[in-house]
Amino acid sequence: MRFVSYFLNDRLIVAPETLVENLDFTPVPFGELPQIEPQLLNSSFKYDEKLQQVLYGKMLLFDELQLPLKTIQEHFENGFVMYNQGVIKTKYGWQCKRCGNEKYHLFASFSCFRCKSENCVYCRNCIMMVRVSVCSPLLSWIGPDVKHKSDHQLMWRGELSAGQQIASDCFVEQVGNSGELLIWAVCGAGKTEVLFHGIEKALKMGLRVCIATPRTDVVLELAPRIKEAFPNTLIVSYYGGSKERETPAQLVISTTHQLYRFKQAFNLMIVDEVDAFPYSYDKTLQHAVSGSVRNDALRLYLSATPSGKMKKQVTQNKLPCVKIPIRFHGFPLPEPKMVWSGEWKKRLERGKLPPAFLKWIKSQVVSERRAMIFVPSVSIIEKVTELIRGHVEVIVDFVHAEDPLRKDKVARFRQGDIQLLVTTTILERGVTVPFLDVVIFGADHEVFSESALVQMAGRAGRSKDDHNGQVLFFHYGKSLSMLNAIKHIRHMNEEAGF
Amino acid sequence: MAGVLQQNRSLYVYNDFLKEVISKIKYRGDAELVKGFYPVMRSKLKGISGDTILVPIPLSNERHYERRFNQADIIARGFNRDVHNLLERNAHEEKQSKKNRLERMKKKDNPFIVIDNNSIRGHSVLLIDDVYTTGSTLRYAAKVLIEAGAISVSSITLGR
Ligand SMILES: [Zn+2]
Ligand SMILES: [Zn+2]
Repeated sequence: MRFVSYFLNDRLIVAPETLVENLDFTPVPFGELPQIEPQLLNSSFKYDEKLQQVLYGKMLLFDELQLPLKTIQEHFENGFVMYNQGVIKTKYGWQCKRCGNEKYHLFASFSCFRCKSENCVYCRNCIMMVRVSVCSPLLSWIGPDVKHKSDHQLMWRGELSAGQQIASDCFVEQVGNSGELLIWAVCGAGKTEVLFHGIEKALKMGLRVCIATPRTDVVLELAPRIKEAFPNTLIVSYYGGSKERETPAQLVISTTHQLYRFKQAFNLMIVDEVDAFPYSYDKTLQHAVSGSVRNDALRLYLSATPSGKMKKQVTQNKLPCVKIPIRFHGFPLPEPKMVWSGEWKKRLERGKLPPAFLKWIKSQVVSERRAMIFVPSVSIIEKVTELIRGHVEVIVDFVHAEDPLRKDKVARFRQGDIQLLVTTTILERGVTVPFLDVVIFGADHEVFSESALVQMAGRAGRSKDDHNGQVLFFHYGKSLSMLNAIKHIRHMNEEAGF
Repeated sequence: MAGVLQQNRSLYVYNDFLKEVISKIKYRGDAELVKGFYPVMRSKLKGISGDTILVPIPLSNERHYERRFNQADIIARGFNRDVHNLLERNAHEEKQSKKNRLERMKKKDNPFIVIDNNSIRGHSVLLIDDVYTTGSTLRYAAKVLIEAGAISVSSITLGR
């Protein structure tokens, strides 16, 4: 967009060109305006409550608001809305103020109808959430805070295990303070319940709370549980395609990606699966988390397999940490067993499965138990599935990240319609199915890190009635990751007193 | 109106892949993706005379403001020749779409107008658009160009 700027009573005013009739002003692309200062708050101005609710704690584009330009401009002139730059020029290139991207190759330009520039630079990193360019202002709310109601009530009446109780108490104590806390809980510890009391305290204090997770599946699974626990609280979930975004919620459940929309919004930020891809790899996602919280916020991290960096911070006493080494049902984590399966790659090329693996498949079918069979790459997934089908009568299927039937297949597996599911690491987290064994085919492959192996092993034995699921690593030579994963699980079991 | 458009060439079949790329360009606004097509486009233009004028199919002003670029214009730039934005959408077009089918069939109003007849007169014109579906858009555009004095009009699209 193009804006004009002029001085009024010694203050610089900017306005979209279409709202100003004076032809003496020369419109310029938004990014070329002089430094904009917020206008003085005019407390007698009757502000639009809807705009306040939508924009509060966020950074949005004009195109994301269903309001006339004129209304928004009035809020700017009266000191309720601020226009911030979307993409700025830096010493070495560009920076996106929404997602923090600074990578040169993730910027491009186009001939722009709105600002008439031949090279309007835009960010490609966060393009999935409405394009932001040099000429598009990011709007923020600088008027009065949204007042949240305070009759929050935790309706959850379940009991915490001893391990959960310790972590929950530790979390509750920290609510209201700023800083960080890591809850290191084994797969199956029941981490959602650990959050309830801390969230309740925060809500009652009037704090804004966010639970962020890298995956949409988890948002969808978590939202109904949290809503059930806090029936009096306005809770909204954010993920690609979610529809509730205009409701002002005190409690937000969001994918880490969607956090780009928030600015300085939350007093309590809970980051689930803090070690999970892509969060740990993507600097701009970390930027999204930092950008969305207040400076004095408390950040709570949840993980079953914290990164090496985090573990180091814990041992150096730089990151407070509380561990839940024991599963909710009180039984130890199943320890993986290693099974030599020779040159599985070569055998596969010849259209054969390793004998040890074949033997297991046959016994698994007889046991009538379900199994997840993890393979190292999507390229062999169909072949492995076909070969297994050649040996057994039960239903075998495969699933991977790009599979359009992914949801459906996982549901059928859960219901027991599929007995053996061949999968890539996409199912390493989140999916909980009772009466399940876990097998890693080619566990020595380099894609399987220690944490991936721990997570996959953590799928087994999660229910009280079936706490002793089997975990097998089929390999052609033990990898360091395999050994570390087994050590990791043993250590957690020892710490739990087994 | 038959016969006003001499020939249409399309670079690709409009399959799911192309559909996805074009929707990323148009609706997400990732204009940069067009550049991926540039090398193929350039090779396709070799047989076309240097005097031919490249004219992209325009968007309505509302649509253009909303999208901020015209994908046909960006595609046209890939041919590495001058691009002439000599067509414009008729301002009454939006109202036209509300008329019923019969009225539309009868309508004499072409959705396009030529901005500058002098630049067209005596030239061959190559129209550029993203997708060829029924071809009626291109034929309407060809018709006004012929009326404005173009010798011949052909077209090129990314997908069909
Ligand atoms: Zn960005
Ligand atoms: Zn622009």
